[in-house]
Amino acid sequence: MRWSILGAISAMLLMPPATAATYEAKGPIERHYAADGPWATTTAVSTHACDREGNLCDIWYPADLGANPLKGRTSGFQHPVIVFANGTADTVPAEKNAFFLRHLASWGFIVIRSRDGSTGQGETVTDAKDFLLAQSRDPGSVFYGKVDADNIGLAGHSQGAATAALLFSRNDPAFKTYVPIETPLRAVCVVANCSIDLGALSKVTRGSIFYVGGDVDVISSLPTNLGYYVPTSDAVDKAMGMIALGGHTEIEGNPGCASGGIPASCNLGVYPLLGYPTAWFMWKLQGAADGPAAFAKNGELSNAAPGWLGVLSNIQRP
Amino acid sequence: MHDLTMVRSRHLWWGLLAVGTCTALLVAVFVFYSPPPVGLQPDSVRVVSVPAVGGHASGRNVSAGLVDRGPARSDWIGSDRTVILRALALPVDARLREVIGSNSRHQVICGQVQPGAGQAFRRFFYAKTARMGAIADGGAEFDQTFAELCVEAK
Repeated sequence: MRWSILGAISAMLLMPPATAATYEAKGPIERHYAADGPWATTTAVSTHACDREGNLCDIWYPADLGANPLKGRTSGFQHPVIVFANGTADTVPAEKNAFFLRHLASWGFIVIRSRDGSTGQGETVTDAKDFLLAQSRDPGSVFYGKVDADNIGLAGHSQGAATAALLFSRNDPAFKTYVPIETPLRAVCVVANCSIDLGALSKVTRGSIFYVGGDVDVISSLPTNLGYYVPTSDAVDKAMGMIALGGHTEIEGNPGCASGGIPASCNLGVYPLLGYPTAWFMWKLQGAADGPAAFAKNGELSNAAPGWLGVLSNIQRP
Repeated sequence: MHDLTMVRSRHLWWGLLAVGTCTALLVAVFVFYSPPPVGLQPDSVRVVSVPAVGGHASGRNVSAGLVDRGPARSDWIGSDRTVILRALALPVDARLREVIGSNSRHQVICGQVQPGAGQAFRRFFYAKTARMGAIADGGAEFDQTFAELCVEAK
């Protein structure tokens, strides 16, 4: 473990900086999942509050619910779910992170997020999940009978990433896997009430987690992500990767960075987040067979430099 | 021979003078120099123990909080003032002053904040990209993070 961490740090230090803020998927698995999936998508907004704080929920989902083009099925497929926890915001407009979330839906997931901009301990995240599950039991809902309640994942950004890791650390039975993106320094979670108990991470016995950071994101740098990855229990699958030149708000790209944003916060756009996070959810929630090849030690992600650096994993190839 | 003795004497004299000067300088340094307390910036104010203030950090040890009893410096009025106070869960009338400076490369603002009248000024940092921040709570984690994020702003 110690040598692999030193190796990850050394690789980052020795890697020459990219000369242009562009991103190109390198490996075949990443390229596969970075492309749009086979489902056409649509979007809905809840007609009433979906969480205890009165926020609406945005939902991205396959237009042809029940079909699974990957398996040649035209009906009867129950869709796995990805709940998304937002980063800190006073207000969360419908289009925030929409490119990323719609991309996930194109791979067959029903994606839901509350518009809560302060997810903290995760109550509204759990509420959003419960809202969708209630919809799946309502004969009057488009989601009736279409939700795979046993395969729900949780992704989050910034404060939302801390919320995701926090629920993971509590062995939350509702979520099967987690992808925290740009998990912030613990110090900033004191006020936001999203502090992750590092001791609890070492005791996790269920789920799996893929930490994603940015190597120029001072709030979610390599040391910060190491601080979460290292204590995370080896009893579950865990992986970590740093986006080279990744800033804090790449996920907000549509797909490129918006002009006039905070300098150095978005350098590449959402592109690096389309491939591997999707591959992770496809593996963990839809049983995609290429998961280990992508995320195992010395798998594709481990060799994805210069796009990805500081990669660590405890995953073994079968 | 005489000239050689004179030269040797002159060298000996200059040598003794140099040794004496160095010794005096060293003594002066040891006597008069007092290193700043660990963790403080050179322009920081003295550290005293203060009662815990309210808010998110109440209940934690804030003995390392910074208290400025000196002349008031002007409050910081920047475009981010409101969002910083909100990120720190502080009231809008809290006093904010940027005494450490901002780390523009990291988009971090570092300074001091007085949560309420009569309360101690405490160090804070605010990360613009994440819209999140933290206030000194006496813990090592804040101190370490503050040092990392604000060090280039000194």
